[in-house]
Amino acid sequence: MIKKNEINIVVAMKREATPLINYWDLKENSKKFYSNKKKKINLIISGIGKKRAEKATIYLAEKTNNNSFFLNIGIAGHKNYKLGEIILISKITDNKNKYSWYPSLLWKTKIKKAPLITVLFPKIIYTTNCLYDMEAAGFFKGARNFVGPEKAQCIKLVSDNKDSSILNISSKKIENWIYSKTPVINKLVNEFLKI
Amino acid sequence: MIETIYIENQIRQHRRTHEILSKFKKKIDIVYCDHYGEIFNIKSQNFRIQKKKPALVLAKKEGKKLHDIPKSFSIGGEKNYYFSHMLNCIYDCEYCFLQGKHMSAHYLLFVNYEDFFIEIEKKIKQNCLEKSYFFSGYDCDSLAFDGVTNFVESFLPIFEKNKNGILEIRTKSIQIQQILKHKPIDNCIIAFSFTPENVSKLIEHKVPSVKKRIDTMKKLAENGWKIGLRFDPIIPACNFAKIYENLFKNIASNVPEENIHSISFGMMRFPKKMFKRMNKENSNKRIFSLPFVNRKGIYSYNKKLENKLENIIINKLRKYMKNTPIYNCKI
Repeated sequence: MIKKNEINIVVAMKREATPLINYWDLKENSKKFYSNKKKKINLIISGIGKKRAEKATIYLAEKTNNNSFFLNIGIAGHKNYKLGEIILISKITDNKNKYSWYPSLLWKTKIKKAPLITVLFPKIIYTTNCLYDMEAAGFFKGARNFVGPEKAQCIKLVSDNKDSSILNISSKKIENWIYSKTPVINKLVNEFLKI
Repeated sequence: MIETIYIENQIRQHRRTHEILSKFKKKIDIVYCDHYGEIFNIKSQNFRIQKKKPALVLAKKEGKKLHDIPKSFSIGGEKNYYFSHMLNCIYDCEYCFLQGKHMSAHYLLFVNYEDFFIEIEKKIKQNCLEKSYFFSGYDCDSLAFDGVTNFVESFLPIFEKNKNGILEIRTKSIQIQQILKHKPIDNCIIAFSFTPENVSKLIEHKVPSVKKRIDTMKKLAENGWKIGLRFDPIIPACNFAKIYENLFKNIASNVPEENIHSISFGMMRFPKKMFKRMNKENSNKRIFSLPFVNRKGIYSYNKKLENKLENIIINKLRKYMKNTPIYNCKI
């Protein structure tokens, strides 16, 4: 029998986490920390911002197997991409210090890949062709202390674009976007865990 | 095969970058970076996992392009250099030092060939009173990726016009279409690496069969090209003398001796750090069951075994190739 790897998932907000908690039947272990021991899935709600994401990732890493897989799931904005579209991130740049991480793209998937920039404050004007979020750089800074580029990945769902600004985002919409893509995320998670 | 290409920003608009990208008909993901080291030199990468699906990294080679080779690894020349337009290989030989040398299994291709040409021609000019030997294929297989790199079409003309420079193209590939488009030149040696068929099948993954490689050498020889035979590393397998003799006999019966420029062989040898890293990542590989000893920081066979293997190899080679120079790449 093949030993299944453990996956540690970091999301920023409860409303992003709810569809995933329900889909994978995760139980709350402690405040903001959920897991399903059988499925070997752990999830933590970090709060908004890269510092919180980094702290939560390190917390998860220290609490779990050191050979775990790390995944950041959340929302992000992009100039042109359709709302709710799912993207696998190919490059993460911290906008403050311009440091970049490059997750290895080894997966059998048709999901679109794109680079992302982590910013300190939400973006209203999209100056590049990248996605924009507020956590991924913190997540990678934390995760890459423990694993290589193959085992830290990031999935984003488009929440805003040039036609629909961040002001139009609602909790319900976030839940719906994540909910509608949960089977796709689950498939990708299974692909990740094959390594 | 390649699904992701990383490109350094500084060569985004390089002519060769565009040429290479145009060869990929299937949809590929392109990721831009400031320096290839951000991807290639990152610590904690898993070579074995990456090897399952390597990406291509296009970059500019900065600094020195030519590196000296010790005389003990020469094929008769005094001035010997190697150059690497590419790092890593599409094949997966269990003994390959590349898996212990680089952090990454991605294929790193330097597109600024013209800078290599300048250094090569400068060196030839500098050594104008003697031949300069240039070896390609230390850090990659020179021909295996030729369909993408256009290595032959780019580098061969440099030696067509500089007869004082000798080019060795070392390979296990059978991709010789581009070579055959050229008239043979005396100062280019197409050097093929071999282990006996049964050994190759076990430890040289994705490598064309011994038969296909011999057929390829035969074709090149028929077209007037000079062939190099490289038995490096020598593997002390069961029926050692017999399987190596069969290999030499097979080659000799297909490739006329007058077309063979030189033969070289060498024992398996790894610097300590590289050996430890390879062993850590590939401890289940067959080669680590071989009798390695630490000889002044180099892991190789013990002296007694080395001498025994050397004698067998030289005797058997001489039986079939009487006049070809044989070089022993000793540590």
